[in-house]
Amino acid sequence: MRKVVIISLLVSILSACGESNSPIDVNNDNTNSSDNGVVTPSPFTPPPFTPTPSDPYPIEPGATPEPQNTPNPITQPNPGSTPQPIATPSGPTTPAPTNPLPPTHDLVLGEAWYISNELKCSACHSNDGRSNDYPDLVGEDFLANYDFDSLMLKVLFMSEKYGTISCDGKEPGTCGYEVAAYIWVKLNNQTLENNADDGKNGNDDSLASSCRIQKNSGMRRLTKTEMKHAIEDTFGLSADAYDELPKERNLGGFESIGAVQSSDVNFVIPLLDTSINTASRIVNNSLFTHNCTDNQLSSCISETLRPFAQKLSGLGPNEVEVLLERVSRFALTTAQSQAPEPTPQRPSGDQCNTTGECKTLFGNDADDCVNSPSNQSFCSCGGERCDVLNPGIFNPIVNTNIDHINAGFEDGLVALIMSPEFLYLKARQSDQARVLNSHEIAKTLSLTLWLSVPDDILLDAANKGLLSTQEQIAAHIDRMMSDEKFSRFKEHFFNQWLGFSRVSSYDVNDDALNILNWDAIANDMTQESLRFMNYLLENNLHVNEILTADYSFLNARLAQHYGISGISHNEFEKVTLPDDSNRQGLITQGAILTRAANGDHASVVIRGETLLSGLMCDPPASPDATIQNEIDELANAQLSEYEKMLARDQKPNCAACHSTMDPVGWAFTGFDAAARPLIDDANGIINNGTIDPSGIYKDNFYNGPLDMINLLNEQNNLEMCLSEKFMIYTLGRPVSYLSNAEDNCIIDEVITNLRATLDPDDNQIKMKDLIKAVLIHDVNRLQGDKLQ
Amino acid sequence: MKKNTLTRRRFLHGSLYGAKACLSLPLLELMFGSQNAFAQATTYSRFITFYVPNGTLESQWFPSSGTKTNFNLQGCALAPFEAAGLKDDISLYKGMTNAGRFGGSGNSHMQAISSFLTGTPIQNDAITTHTISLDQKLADYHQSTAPTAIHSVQLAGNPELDKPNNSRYNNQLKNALSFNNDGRILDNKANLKSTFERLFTGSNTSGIISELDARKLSILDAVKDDTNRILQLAGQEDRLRLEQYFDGLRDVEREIERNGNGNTQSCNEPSGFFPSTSDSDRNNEIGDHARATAKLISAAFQCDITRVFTYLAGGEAAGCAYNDIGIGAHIHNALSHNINGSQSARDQYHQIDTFHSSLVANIMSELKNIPTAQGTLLNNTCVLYGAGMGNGDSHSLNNISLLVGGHFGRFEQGKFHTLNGRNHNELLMSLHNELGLPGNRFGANNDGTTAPIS
Repeated sequence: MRKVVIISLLVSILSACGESNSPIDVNNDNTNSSDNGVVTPSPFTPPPFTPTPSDPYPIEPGATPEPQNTPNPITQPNPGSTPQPIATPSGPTTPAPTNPLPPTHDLVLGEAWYISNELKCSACHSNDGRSNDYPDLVGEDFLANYDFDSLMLKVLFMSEKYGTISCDGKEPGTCGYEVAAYIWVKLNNQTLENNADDGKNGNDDSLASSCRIQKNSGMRRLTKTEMKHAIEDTFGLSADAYDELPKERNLGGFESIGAVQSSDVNFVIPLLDTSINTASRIVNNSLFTHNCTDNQLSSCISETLRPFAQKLSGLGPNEVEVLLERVSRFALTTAQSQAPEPTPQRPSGDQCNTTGECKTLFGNDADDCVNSPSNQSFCSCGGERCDVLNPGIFNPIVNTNIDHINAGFEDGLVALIMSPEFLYLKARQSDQARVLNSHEIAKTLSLTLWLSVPDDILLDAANKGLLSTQEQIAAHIDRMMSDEKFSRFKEHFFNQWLGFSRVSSYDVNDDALNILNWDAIANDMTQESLRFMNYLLENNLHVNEILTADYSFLNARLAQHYGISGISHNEFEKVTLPDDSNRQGLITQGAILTRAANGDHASVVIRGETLLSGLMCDPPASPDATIQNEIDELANAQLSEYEKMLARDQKPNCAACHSTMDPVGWAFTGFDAAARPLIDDANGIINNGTIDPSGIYKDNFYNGPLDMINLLNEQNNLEMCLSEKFMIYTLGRPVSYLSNAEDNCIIDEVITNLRATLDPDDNQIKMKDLIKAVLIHDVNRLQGDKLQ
Repeated sequence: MKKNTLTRRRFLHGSLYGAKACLSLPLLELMFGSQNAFAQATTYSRFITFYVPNGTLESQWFPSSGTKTNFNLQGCALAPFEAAGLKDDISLYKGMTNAGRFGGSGNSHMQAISSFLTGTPIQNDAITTHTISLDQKLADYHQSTAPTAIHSVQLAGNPELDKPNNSRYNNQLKNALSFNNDGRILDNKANLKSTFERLFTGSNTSGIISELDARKLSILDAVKDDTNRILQLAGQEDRLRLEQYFDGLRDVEREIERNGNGNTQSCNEPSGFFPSTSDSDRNNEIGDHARATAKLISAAFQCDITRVFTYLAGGEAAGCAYNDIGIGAHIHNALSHNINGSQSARDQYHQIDTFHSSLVANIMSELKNIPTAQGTLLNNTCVLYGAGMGNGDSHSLNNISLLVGGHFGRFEQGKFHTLNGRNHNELLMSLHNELGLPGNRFGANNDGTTAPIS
């Protein structure tokens, strides 16, 4: 995981009432950046910065900031001191103060850093935070996207990325904190809240996280795949009709994002048909049985539907009653409206005409037909009425036809499988933050790991309240991961994260590249990567093996396509990659390399962007419209990929992102658009005829794909990135380690806690363990109140 | 009101299963309080939008010379309109700047499309809601004054949302042409078979609600039974999502009811093949698709089933190949970025522009062939055709290509307007007014200023 390089910059205010009004000159002459970015001490050493409430400069939260009437607050006379940000050798970071005192901040210090040559914030964002060429640091849009903590995180990452030094720390007195406070308070007129009481999440003693969990991982709808599996697991029949529902809308490939799901009329029309079709199949399936007759029909319907309602909704025994009542009432209404008229009772008053008829009906006990001529006749058995002595003979004929009851069940089941209680997960009852109950946790676990509703064991645990501690949840996760249904997770999670199944839709011009059977090969590539990731997960191997594995899963056709000889099996098998293949781990697999296909060649930029976004979780910023002209100029230029890369490097606006993106892509130019080895560059598209995938990446020389893979591996982002992607998948909301303070804290905590449990001799984090660690973290049990 | 509806449902449901009652139109009319929609249909304005992603080769889209009233379409991308005899049924708007350019930010593809019908810039390209689009405002207005069976229809020739080899472009805004009153993006569907069924199933049943439809109505009632309780319990954000589902249930209900009340005399189902194109995958042959759509539109207008269609040739930043005109090596967006590098790319890009024009001209011809009391179906119909982006290669939002067809309001067609640099929302404002919408504001940055209409 990438960490901000910590350089503790202990800072002092020399004087509370400085003589100078001019901004302090904080230039590079005072500091000497060494190659590794560590800043050496400046020649003078001020006393350490110790903010106290009595300092005149730190402003109490709640204090009204000066109104900003002039467009450029920097030009206002600065009555403050002349702070000297001074670098000293780094030391351990001070833990966050937990005292109830409001946080303090130093605006003068923050401003000095903001405009300093070290951090260069103002060089791009200008002194007042408004810029034509770079994102504004003021205004509504800015405030909509940032809270203070995330701003601080952004300052830290931006300073590492673009500053000449890295800026330290999230505590008062450190530059990350003070610069963020300056932007927040001075430029945006915001106040700093006292967050001292926010360390504790909810009142639940079982919550252990020290991160402030405020985000609402909100309600979402089940995907059509989840609906299908839920029906299949509950009723024991295939439910392929759900495949016909509209494809889920997704964000970054993930289908479970509540905010982008569509449930409009175009979804409801096919859902209604699918539900009617499915309910009919359920009732006509031999696995669905009931003993209901017209007697006690209401309670019988209700009791028959109860287990299904519980399972599909995942609600507790009491909560389910409202749903059960609704669907049962509907089933009953339908059954009654379709019930045939009861077969007419044989008129009890006109039983017989002769004694012989009575003997036929009641046996020899019958000895008379009383009132035989009238329509009031009845048989007599020794002076008593035979029908009273033999009840049943003249009782109404029992209606044995249950078609109407089945029709009622069909309607009731349609209402059940279209109910919001089944279709939606984690509906909140208010906008208040709250801890999820056992039943919601059970449904979350089963949807995540099985793409289905809870089984009986999980539901039983929820009913008994046995899903409230991390240990209890962890035990169920272990059980669920060893269940066959876990294979659904493997396919869907990796596909949604890395798009394995989309190879055939990439822009590979198979004609121009002379590939005869591209469709089959594209499918092989999908298979290769799915098998590879499943293998890592099933065997709970190190997360980093995604990058470092010296094996893959190949069949003869794909091996031949890759130029790997000696593979003759038509089935996929685990194959050790030969040294001369230049392949290692996931990145050199076709499903990843072909993503950069741009017709007959691969794009360096897309390759770099794909790897940084997809596997490093460090996406370059979207090109802003203001640098569009520069992009166009290059896009139109008749230059090779290499020449374009050089040109981007010369343009600061481009280089800001491309200096990291381009080398990552360039290292893989030895593979063509279809992931085959590229020996020469006959058309000069890459670099005037030669292939030389070497260069400098973050001050390191690399030569070829294996070097780059190892450099990426050294960045140690993969555990973070797998956590981030899995959190998106299970929480159903965007997650960003690098730009959101809450997400950042949670992922750090997950990884730190997990690593603490590992054997020091083998402290590499493993795949299953990491997924489990995320899943038992409090973020999965707590819904914040902050809207997304 | 609701209670009565429920009673009617129960009655229908029971009687259809039991006594096999056959309900006649007058009874239904009584119960629905309906009107004879068709008789009035031609007095209501209709609106079709045909959107082209990834810009156009604007320099060859419009005539290279000419005046406001004297211009020649031959040789430019609009030539098919002249060939179809539609030159006097259209007006050209050259030089306008997309409303998204006025204070918006974010990826320019997403800006281009999301402001095309809203007249309002987006502030970033990760938004999930935006302001209502003109097509939806018109459809809402009709539903509140003279409702049709179907509120509006959003179609796409190529619905593909995903350009998977670039995850950043994996953005729902790529297809965000229509936004409803709640600001939600409406999905554009490619499946014409299901659209056909949605539009025409039931419309020819002599006013009888089929047994299946009656059952569907009672199911919808049952599912909605606890709507209020469920919504009341939900928090604000969740309520929005649940409301979308409940709205969907209600829309289906309304469509079934109105279908059951269909007018049969003057309404013929369109004939032809309506492909069940995937609603999410790439379609590389939009020609047949758009021509089948033209038949759907003219039949739906004729029957007054709906009055608002949007058609997305494809999503932004993606685009398909055009196999039907022999362009298969590169997708549209890739071509758009090679127009200065390669003459053949430039030619193909222009060829696609011309092809799009022929598809729009075909829609207009279909309408023009159907006589009505006002003339033809092209009367009271507004066709907006164009691209939200100007030069697709430079991602410019300036000089976007726009054409307005049909005869409606006070529009005088046959004009070539050149409006350099003016906000294209002024044209939307004109359409808004001439389509008969109340109020004199639409979109952002507009005080009521309109573009010329004569």
